Amino acid sequence: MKIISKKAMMDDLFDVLFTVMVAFFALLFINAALVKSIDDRNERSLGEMTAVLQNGHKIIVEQEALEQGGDASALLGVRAEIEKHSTTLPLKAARKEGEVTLLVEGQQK
Amino acid sequence: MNKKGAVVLHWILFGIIAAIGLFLYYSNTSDLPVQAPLGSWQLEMINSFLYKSELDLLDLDLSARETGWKVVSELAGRGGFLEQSSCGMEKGVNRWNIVDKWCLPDEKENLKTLFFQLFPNPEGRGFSPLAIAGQRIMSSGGMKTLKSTDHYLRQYTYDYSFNVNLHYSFDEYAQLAAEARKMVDTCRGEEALEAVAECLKLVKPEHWHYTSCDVPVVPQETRIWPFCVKSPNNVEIEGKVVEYNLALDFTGYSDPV
Repeated sequence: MKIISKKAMMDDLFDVLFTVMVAFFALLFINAALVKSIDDRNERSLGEMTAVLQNGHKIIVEQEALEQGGDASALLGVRAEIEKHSTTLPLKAARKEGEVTLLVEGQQK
Repeated sequence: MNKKGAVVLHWILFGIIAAIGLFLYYSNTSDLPVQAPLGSWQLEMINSFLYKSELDLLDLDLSARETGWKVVSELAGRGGFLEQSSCGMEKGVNRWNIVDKWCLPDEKENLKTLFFQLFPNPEGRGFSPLAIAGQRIMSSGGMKTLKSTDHYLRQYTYDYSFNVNLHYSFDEYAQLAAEARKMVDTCRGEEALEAVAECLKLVKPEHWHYTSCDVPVVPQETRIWPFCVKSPNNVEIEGKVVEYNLALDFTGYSDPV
């Protein structure tokens, strides 16, 4: 036979309230930590992608200038832009060890 | 809730709170991939490898074009020869003929030779023989690889070759040779120097200048005349019209050589 005392009912009530509060905060946390984070990352990605694609466009402009006999004078500026993004884009693990440096290898004839 | 259940629940709560705290701390300060922009690896590959290779190729093209222009100017100044013409020189200018013997330069072969003597090649890379097609010059330096030095292996291999437009055609030499032959054939039969000069007035194209392009001087007392010839197509290299220096021999058949 079950005896439902007033104390037990209060315990259950607080359990329910506590569960609701935890669930509420958990949902807030999931929203902030995951959904918002993904939105931020998307936004940052778009920003970085725009900058990188602009560098590509600048290179094409320089290539056209060279083809037309121009002096490709903006080449230094393009190089600086690419270097600037090279310091922000590399993988974090690589950045931890310092700037990513490139080895040049080639088949010598 | 009994005493044991209450204790377990409280420890779980502490655990959850601690986990959230740790997550927030590390996600803001450390290298958790969740904070990196999406596609950063791909963007880095494009920016640091593809674009750097394109810049490298642009540098190569620029260098090849500069060298090509330098060689064109130098060859034109030497009448198309690498060194001395087999017909000899007149006052430091290569002769294109001795009476009716012609010593025309092989300007394309000379370009190929002189180009790689002047071409800056700090890596000591081997290039294929220079090819000339119209106004373009091209050569291949084999494959080149950019490779990262960190523990994430990334590498990009590309064809280290150039193919640049000099906006200059070596066909100008053929035109100059035809004009030179016409002038010599028409005027060398004249006996007096004054008559040669008069004859040349009729057949000499406007872009041919006696001795110098800046201050033309009609030669005296000799039938071997140096010329400065401006590019018939007014081709400019770095703002200056290409100038050819060569000497023509107007000695007639009956004259002593």
